[in-house]
Amino acid sequence: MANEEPQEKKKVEVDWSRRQFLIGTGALTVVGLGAMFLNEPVAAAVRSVFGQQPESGPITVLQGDYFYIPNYMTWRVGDQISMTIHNTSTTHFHEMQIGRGFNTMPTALQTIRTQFAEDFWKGVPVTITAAQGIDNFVTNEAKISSDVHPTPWLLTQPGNGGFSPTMKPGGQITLSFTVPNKPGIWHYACFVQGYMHWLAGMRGTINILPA
Amino acid sequence: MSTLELRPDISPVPQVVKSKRMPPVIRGILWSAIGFLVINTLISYVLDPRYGHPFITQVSITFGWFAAMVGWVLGVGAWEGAVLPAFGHHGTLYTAPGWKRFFEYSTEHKVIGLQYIGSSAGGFFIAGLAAMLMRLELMNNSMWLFNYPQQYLTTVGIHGTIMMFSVGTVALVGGLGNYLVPLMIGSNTSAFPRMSGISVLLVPFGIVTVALSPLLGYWSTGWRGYEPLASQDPSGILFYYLGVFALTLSSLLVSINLTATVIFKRAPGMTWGRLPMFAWGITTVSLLNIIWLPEIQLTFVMSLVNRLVPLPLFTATGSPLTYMELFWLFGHPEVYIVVVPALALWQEIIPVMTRKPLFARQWGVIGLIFVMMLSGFVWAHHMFTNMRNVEMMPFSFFTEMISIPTGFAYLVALGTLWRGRLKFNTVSLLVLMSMFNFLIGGMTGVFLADPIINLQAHDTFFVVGHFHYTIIGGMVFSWLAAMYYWLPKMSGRMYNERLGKIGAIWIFLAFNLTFSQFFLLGLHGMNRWVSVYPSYLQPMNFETSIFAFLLGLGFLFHLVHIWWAWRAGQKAEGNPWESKSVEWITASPPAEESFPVIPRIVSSTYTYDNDEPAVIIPSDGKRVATTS
Ligand code: HEM
Ligand SMILES: [Cu+2]
Ligand SMILES: [Cu+2]
Repeated sequence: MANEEPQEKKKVEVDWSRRQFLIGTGALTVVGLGAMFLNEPVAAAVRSVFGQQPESGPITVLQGDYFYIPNYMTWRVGDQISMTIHNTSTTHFHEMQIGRGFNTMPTALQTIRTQFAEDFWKGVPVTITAAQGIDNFVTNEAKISSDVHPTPWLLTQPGNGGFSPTMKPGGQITLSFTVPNKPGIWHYACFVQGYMHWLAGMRGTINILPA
Repeated sequence: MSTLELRPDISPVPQVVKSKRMPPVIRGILWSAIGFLVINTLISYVLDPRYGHPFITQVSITFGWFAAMVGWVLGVGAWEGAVLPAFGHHGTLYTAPGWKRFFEYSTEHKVIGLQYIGSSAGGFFIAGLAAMLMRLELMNNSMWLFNYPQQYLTTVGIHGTIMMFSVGTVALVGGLGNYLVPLMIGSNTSAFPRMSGISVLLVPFGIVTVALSPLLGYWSTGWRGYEPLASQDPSGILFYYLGVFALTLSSLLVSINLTATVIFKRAPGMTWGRLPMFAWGITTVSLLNIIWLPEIQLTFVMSLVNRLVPLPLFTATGSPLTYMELFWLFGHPEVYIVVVPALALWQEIIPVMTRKPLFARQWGVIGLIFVMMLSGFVWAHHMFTNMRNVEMMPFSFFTEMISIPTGFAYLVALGTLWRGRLKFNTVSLLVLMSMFNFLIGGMTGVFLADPIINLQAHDTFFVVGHFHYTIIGGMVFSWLAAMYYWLPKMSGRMYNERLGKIGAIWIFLAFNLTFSQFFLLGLHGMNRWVSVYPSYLQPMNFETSIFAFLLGLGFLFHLVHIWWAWRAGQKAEGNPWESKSVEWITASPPAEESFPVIPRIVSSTYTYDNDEPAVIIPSDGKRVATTS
């Protein structure tokens, strides 16, 4: 019954360094905690140290559940931008509004933010240069023109809320425009599904530098 | 491997080589990182590139994670310890001296047991920190600590997942089971030591995976991963599936190993009729694990694939119920996986402390076995809100019936206490407290088995109170009792009786003041899974949180006390409790080879009504080794 088998041929005692062990695991713990809790301050610090080049030309914004990549951009007034917004989610619709301040709606437990109060795109000429998998595109007060055949999803009449292209899962749209003379900090966000995407953190910031 | 040479593994004086090597844990992390980078890059850039060429996609991270897991296990030492030998390479397994043995691959069941206990304790405090964050948020009825509701829900999910799969299922089975079962049945090894050495490495890997899940996005399903919600969740849920996969795989391997150990490794005379209750408990939960863990692993793999491909597995009409059935089929047996070893621990400790034979031993065994069998018939009591009235009846019935075999286990403990002269110390105090708490947990469970009450209390803090009473009150208190009881065995040192008692009373009060209020909160309408709640519940939540923090501190107090006793406590006598159980005839702490001569068991080990020894060391016995 107690049939002891030799477990291994030879057991050799070879020590290892306690210091390496502690420094290695300690450093990784710090990295892990930093990644979990300090990613935003660290990103802000890195930005303030190294600055950020304004983006121009073709740029891509990826949408996920529930985030944007990137969630921080720098633009400069007068630059020509061709922004592709691509929804990488396999399950969710996502939009992208840009603006400042909030329209709100009271509920039993808390006040909910429904969209931006000030629409960045007001009066801005925008050309749709490519589009695929669009659910709807509210243009509000932008001056829209299109290289693609936009019906039936293009909603140009007023009363549908702020400027917002809403992509189906996998959809994407390319918008070409010149950054208007509206320098300062602007925000972008997605408010779909009863405004829950914003609550879940689907937000970003654009720092527009003067020309 | 087996040869006819004369025991080549017994080399009391290990060769000492001066050259150093990389700390195994560091090598494990390195290999893990390499594995991840190679496979992840291969998938995201070559095999399955996505629009915009993101470096990490859901598919790449899933396969990358598996590579990382393999890299970790091999890097820590399974490469030399298990893989090379399997290919006939007579590799050398290095060991380090002292405490460092606990931070490398090992095949020794006592080292592995302590590695499991250490990992569980780590999981307990990580998930405990999450609980403290939850209680902090709930001190106010608005969002003040977290920014997004999903952050709260993710915290709840991390807390529940790590607690269930790395503490509840692991501490008493992988931990105490690996350490004690071979010792209790007079064996020097477990049945599959190499597999065991690998399985323990999966626990820290799984815990870290779940804890880091927010890196991939918040998830909102809690520990149950309900579909179709999970398929709609951000990608953090991936690390839930993957981490739980590692953890459940570990428990499955433990169960296979320990079941085989109990069947094949018993010393002469250790008949089934004499098998210690704790070994019985471990055998029954191992069977539960072997039946139900593959079932839940398959469910989670389905959910994972459902999401990655994606497939519409759980979205059609009625399918959400399919997931719930699949989850709770495992989910209910899981609660007995948690609590059965705790019941067995009471039955192990109480006879020693009362100096009385175990009362109605065979009923205790029958109780454990019937709990095990019935636990597969009650799952739908978690889903009363989703069923027709006629369907509730059988589940309500079986749920109330299961309190009968559970009651056997309870009565065995009570009968042994009856008119006994209980030695009053930290250990027996914690066991009594555990029995008290578990009684409350069990009685509120009977209420919840009643559909009329269930439909009112479902999804409220009443339920949260109920299961914390069984899990913390029943299992964690028993775990602590066991740690104090076997501390002299594991470390050769004794804890401080006064500090132990203070700690026990501390957590008993804090625990009851916290969780009894969970019942009241629930009855007043406090829902689970909400960080924002009606303001009339705020004062009670506030004060409940304060007791919860005290409870957290109480557990820290025990951790520090045990740590201190382990290193600097008074030297303990060989058998301080005068137990008749087999593990106490070994040295304290036991040598690498616990029994130089395999003992012979001559009677039940609970015969405290006479002075005859239950275990003898045969003088003509097969000598397994020269004494060192
Ligand atoms: C310091 C001790 C603990 C405190 C204060 C605590 C607190 C809580 C609270 C407040 C919740 C519910 C949150 C909600 O639904 O909104 C919860 C859920 C839970 N806890 Fe604990 N807990 C503790 C220890 C434990 C332990 C030791 C275990 C198991 C070993 C455990 C297992 C669970 C599980 C499984 C859930 C359900 C998670 C879910 O709904 O998905 N907890 N805990
Ligand atoms: Cu969105
Ligand atoms: Cu149940």
